[in-house]
Amino acid sequence: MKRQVRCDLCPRQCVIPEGGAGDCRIRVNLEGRLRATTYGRPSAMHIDPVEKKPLFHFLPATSAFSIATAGCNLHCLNCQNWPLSQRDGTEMDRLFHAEPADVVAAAREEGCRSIAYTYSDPVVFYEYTYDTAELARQADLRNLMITAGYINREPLRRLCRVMDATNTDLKAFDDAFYRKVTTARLKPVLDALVTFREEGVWVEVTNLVIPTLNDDLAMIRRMARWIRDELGEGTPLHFSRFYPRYRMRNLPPTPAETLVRARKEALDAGLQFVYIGNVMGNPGENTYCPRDGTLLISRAGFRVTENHLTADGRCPKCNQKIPGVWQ
Amino acid sequence: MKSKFLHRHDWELLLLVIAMLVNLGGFLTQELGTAPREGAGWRRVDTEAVQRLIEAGDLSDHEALWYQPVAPSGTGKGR
Ligand SMILES: [Zn+2]
Repeated sequence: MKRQVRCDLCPRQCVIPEGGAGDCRIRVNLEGRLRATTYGRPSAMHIDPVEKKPLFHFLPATSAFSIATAGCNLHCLNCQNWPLSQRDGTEMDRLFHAEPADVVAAAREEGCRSIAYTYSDPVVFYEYTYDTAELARQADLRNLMITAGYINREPLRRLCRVMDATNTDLKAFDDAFYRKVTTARLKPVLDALVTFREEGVWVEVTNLVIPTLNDDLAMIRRMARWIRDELGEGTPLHFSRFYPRYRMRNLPPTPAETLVRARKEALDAGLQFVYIGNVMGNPGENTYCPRDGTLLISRAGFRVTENHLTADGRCPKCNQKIPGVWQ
Repeated sequence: MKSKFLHRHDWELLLLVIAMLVNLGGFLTQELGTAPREGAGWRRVDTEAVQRLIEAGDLSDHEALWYQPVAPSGTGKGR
């Protein structure tokens, strides 16, 4: 008799027959038991500046040991990491053997301050993320969850116990966009952002601006207001530049001007820290004091070039406390 | 006078048309199958390859959290 299971990890709640996988491709029902087939078998391991995540208000100029496995529960037409995220474990060229203790040891050896669960989406390699993060905490390492936030509330609540920061993609403030471009829905992502905030995880948000699809300034204003009201005016928002990728090669890269306008819209909506990514040499890369405009952190790409914050994260001129995790 | 029965080449043509329609139908439903499905979505994987890689130690049989057995109805369609 075929024993099927329902996975309650993400809002898809896949009902998986014996021998099948979840929509994520890597959670496989073998003989009536759901297996996390990429547990301890990452396909990507790199050391990245934390600014690359991007996290701009979290231990600036430190390194994050970054891991990812195959699989994802979103299927974005413009996925940047599709050779990793849109494949299952059997289709990987590389499968490292790295149990949680190995990852923590490697991160310490490399002088990293944190471990980032990233590139594809840690939601689908939940168990590996959780166990690694738990060990990392004991080794005085912080945990960063770089995610699309498509996860059910209870699993996320439990994961938040061991998470220190997240950069969550808010891909558009529009459910139709989510359905069409990502195959997911907007509401669970908003719920996840609120859960992160409620659980005390440091939150930064990234919005990838795609010409004609989600660059409407009225929508960007609604998104910025929602972030201000639900997550707080001190929540950093990163506007990121789209490049034609994967199954979305028919659109041009986002003009820098569009990102500048989006940034202005979000600042006008009351957000205090709005950044522009993937555009070198723009003042939107820097952090300024929201009270007196003092330049606090200057960046060039993912590199911090100046940091004038006090040790406890204040503006050196007016003593304004800048939200974030600084030490 | 023309026979009211189809000639052999007519049958061949008819079979060809039917085969094309079946093919087209299969293609269309396959495309529909990749559209987002919530609730019952799952995917076919090469289970033998998964088992082989688990036995070789290249994949894991670590038991997942957050799942439960369900009665075998409303499986949805694999893709
Ligand atoms: Zn100041």
